[in-house]
Amino acid sequence: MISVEGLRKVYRQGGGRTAREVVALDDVTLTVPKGEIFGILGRSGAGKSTLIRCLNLLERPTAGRVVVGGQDLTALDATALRQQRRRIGMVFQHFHLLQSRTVADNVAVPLEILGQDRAQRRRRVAELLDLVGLADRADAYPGQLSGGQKQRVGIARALAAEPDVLLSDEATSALDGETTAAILDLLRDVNARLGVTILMITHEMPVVKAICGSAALLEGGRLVEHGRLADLAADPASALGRALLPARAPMPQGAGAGVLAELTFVDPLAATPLLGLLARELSVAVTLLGGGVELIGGRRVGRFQVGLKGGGSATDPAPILSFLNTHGVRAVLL
Amino acid sequence: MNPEDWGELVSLVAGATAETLYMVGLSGLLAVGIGLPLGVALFVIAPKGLTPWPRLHAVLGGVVNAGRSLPFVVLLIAAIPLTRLIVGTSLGSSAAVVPLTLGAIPFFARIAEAALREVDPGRVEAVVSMGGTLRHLILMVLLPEALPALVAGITLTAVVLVSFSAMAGVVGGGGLGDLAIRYGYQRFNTQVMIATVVVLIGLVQGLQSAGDWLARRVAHKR
Repeated sequence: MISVEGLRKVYRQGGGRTAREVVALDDVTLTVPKGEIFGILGRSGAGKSTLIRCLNLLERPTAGRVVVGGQDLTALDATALRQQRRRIGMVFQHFHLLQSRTVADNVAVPLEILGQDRAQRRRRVAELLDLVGLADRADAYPGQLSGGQKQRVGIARALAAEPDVLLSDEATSALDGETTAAILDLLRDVNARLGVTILMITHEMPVVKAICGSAALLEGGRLVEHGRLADLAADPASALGRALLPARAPMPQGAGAGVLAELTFVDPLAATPLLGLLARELSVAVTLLGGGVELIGGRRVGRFQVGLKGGGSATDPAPILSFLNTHGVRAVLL
Repeated sequence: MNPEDWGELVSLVAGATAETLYMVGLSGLLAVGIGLPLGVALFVIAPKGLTPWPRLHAVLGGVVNAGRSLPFVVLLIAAIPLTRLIVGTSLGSSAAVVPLTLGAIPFFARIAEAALREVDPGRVEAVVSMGGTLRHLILMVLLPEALPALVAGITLTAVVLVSFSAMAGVVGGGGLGDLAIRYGYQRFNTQVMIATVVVLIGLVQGLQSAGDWLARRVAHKR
């Protein structure tokens, strides 16, 4: 649904002789399948905002292509670009509602742009306010709403023109924890009911963990990794995966637990009685030191820290690791 | 002072007040009608505006600055040929409306431009992201969102016009300022002087209060 190829954005900072170039995005390539909820994570300054603003060309890339719904946006003239933008909804961190309009009239803005008549607009606005649970605040002004309510209006407005894609620019970052959870539920619900592809940028891992099926990590303007959430979590080398699973408990030093290792399982393996198998087949005593199982991207992923001790005086970890690896468990020594 | 003089004073001041209101009202309407589009244009075509057009922006900005740099009394005289062309005569209240309007247009244009600049660019961008055209941006975002500031600007312009109109006597425009100069200054008529000052203060107070009330009303709902 969204495909970004070789995206590059360079800003010129300052002017005259002191002008210097700042590379905000460097060769970003990314594909988001239809119906996906895709999260882009990064610290502030990593280029997240620039990236999402390039996806509807609020920011024009220096180089590269942005293809949304089969249409290369960078190749369009102003009129055609406006037409395409009407198929891409956007939700903002600071809502950006019009203070001069009521809730209902704010939601109606994209419909007015589409040229719908009053009766059509009224019907659609009522549907949307129902969807986001704000039917009773239709005549309120944005100034009278809480942050969470404002974001619901923002989401209703973004969905008004029945877009194929919803871009969410830190939509929950200005909200408290409880409100964030409610807004994420709404986005998940919208994705499931309407099949809208959602691309969200955020600096909060819990947001990605809560609703995204796939994610990417942006660092210094470069996409350092991306993939399905469960796959990332299962990969011990993945920085995103590390952040997805609970932090490692402090390991005991030199105690009698043997060789220390970290094992990562993904469904359906998480259910396999593998540790018992290890003890039976290789006569290895397994000591559980820490870890847990979490539901990530709809799949269960487990990561455990264990001590492995063979029969002899010094345990050779190599056969144990290869045994685990052949059974689909990713094992690394600590 | 006898009753006859009182009657004459009242009719003098009432007539002058009517002339002032006529000049301020008509030139104010015209100045807002022309200055608002000019202010919107200045905002929109600015080098970092919605549709940048730096050359035209520089020209328009220059014209507006030139208009603002003329002392009003100079504009009043300099505009006489134009006044004659438009009104047919260079004398009277209607003739004074031309220089008043010319003086207030650049003033209000700058005020309108500043009011639009105060609109959160994020709200403009939100409507850009929906595929809104320039017309949508102006009519749905810029003007409604800036309305309280624009109302305050209109009030300010009206007050400035009251002050400008005091010089209309130079072209026989009449009005309160003219009355004060002719009777209060040239004929040492203190009563007329005092009455004029009182009415002027009352007029400006009234304009300001009405403007504040309206600005509060349009901002209140938000």
